[in-house]
This record gives sequence, structure tokens and C-alpha cells, in this order.
Amino acid sequence: MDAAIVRWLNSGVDTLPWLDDVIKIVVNDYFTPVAMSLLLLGVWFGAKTAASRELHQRAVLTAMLGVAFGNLAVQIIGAFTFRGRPYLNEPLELLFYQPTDSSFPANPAVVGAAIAAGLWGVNRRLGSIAFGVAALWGLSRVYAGVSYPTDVLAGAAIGVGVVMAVTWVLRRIEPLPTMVIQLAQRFYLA
Amino acid sequence: MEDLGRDYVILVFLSSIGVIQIAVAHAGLTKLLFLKRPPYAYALGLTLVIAGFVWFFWGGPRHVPDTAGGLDGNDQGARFALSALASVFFTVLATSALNRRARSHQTPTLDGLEALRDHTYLEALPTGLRSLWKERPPWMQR
Repeated sequence: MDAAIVRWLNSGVDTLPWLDDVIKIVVNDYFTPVAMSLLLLGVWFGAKTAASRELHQRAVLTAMLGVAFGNLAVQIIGAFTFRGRPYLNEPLELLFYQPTDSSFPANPAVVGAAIAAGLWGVNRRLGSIAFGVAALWGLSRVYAGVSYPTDVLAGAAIGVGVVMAVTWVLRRIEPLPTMVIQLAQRFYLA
Repeated sequence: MEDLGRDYVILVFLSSIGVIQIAVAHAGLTKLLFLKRPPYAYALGLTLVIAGFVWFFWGGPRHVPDTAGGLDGNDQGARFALSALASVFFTVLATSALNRRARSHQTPTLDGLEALRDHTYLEALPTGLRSLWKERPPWMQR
């Protein structure tokens, strides 16, 4: 089933050259991660009131910690399991370089989902946009032939799960997060 | 590798300045704007973001594995953090210089960015540092 979905999606490669060019940019190691990180930077500065700004800045901290711990989870899982990339097992038209690390779980899906889940907690509109971008990123990796759908789904689940755990921990260690934001406020950076 | 790393830093620096301009224009933090009128600030911000991405991707999608000179996740994270921080400091220092003539005579509040509606960063910073010094923990007061 997993392989069939990759083959079906990847069979669209070369049908619409402009779509392939767009996918090559979206699936890139730099485009989407930078775009989503810039979204967090904008959220840090962009709220219209002090109260809303503090809520949004907590969401940014949560998302950043979610990305960090999500990557750690991927490293730990990668130390115990290895799944070959789809292009190794299927006759695919690759739109990306040949990654040699484990396909499972998809690290980009972890990053995208962690950022989106962090924002979703405080701003449904921005969270939805971020989830849309993360979904497009994951789908693009399947289309490009470098991830299986289950790699992306597992990565997204890890990203969301880690953010939920980080949110829980941050509530338990109050007033530490508040002190961090208040310290940044004294430097007029929050 | 060096070209890619350098281009990545420029991408983040330019686009971060652009995003900050768009965000502070939206938030009404007028003393952080390079251009006084918010519509111009939005336009400048968008231009900088697009310029950063065009600069980086002009030659193609740059699919370089980290085993062959690409940037791995940790390297990207560190470069992003430093470049974004540099863009924040560039913004607060440059806007303090640009907006220094329109000084407010009131003392800045301790509300963080909120104070930058009426005060430039360099006007407000001494107030924050003084309050930190007054509230320093007892072990630092000897």
C-alpha cells in the first residue's frame, strides 16, 4: 500500500514540468524550513497587543523546543531502526538527491508538524496555514520519491506529540517560561 | 560548501529583516520601522523576503546532500539563529538611528516591545537595564 502510493504519486513526474519545478523547490532542504522559521520570527514580533504578543511568543518557544526534541526523537529512532528510501526499492523518477539516512520517520514532517502544532495552540488561522505548508512539504517528499507516506505520517505524529509534551512540561515548570519572556522584555526583545 | 553557507546566511539575514518589518508594521511598533508609513514598510518587507529567496535560488533548487557539502540540520539551525539574531540587532540599531529625531519625553515602560511604539530601542534599553540592575538577586548586591 505504502509503496503503491509512492509509485502512483511519482508517476505524475514529467507530466507537468512546471509542477516538478515547484516540487523541487518545496522539497528542498532550505526553502520550506526557512519559510516556516521566518513565520515563527514574524509571530514573535507581529501581535497587536502586549497580552496577545506574550501568548504568541510562548507558542514560538513551544514550537522551537518541539523542533529540537522532535529531531532528537528522530535521531534516537534512527539509531534503532533503518528503512531504505523508496527510490532504492521502487522504479521511481527522483526529483531530489539520494539521501542515505533512514527514511523512517521523515524528519521534515517532524519539523513542519512541530511548528504548525506550536502555532495551532494559540492561533488557529496561522496554525492551519502552517499545517497546510507542512502537509505540502510531506506530500512533495512522497511525490519526489524520497519518503513513504507512513514516514511522513509518523513524522507528523512525532512532531505533534512532542509539542503536546513540551506544552505540558512548560506548564509544569512555570514560572520559568514566564521569567524567560520577562527577561527578554527587559531587553525590549519580547 | 562555503558559497552555500554564505548564501544561506544572506538569505536568512535579508528575509528576516523583511519579515520583521512586516510584523512590526502589523503590530504598530512604529519605532522599529525603517519607513514611517506602514504600507511602505509592508512593501519593503515583502521586497526583502523575495530578494533573499531569489538570491539563494537564482541558480536552481540547490539539492546538495550534507555528505557532499550541503548544510546539515544542526548547521542550518545554528546559521539561522545567528543570522536572524543579527537581523534583529541590525533592525533595532538602524531604526534607533533613523528615528532618533522624533524623541518621546515620557519614560519608556517595562512592557518590552510595547514600549517601542513610542521609543526607539536605544532610548528604551537603559530603562530596562536599570530595572534589571535594581532587581538583581541578593548575591549580586555585595
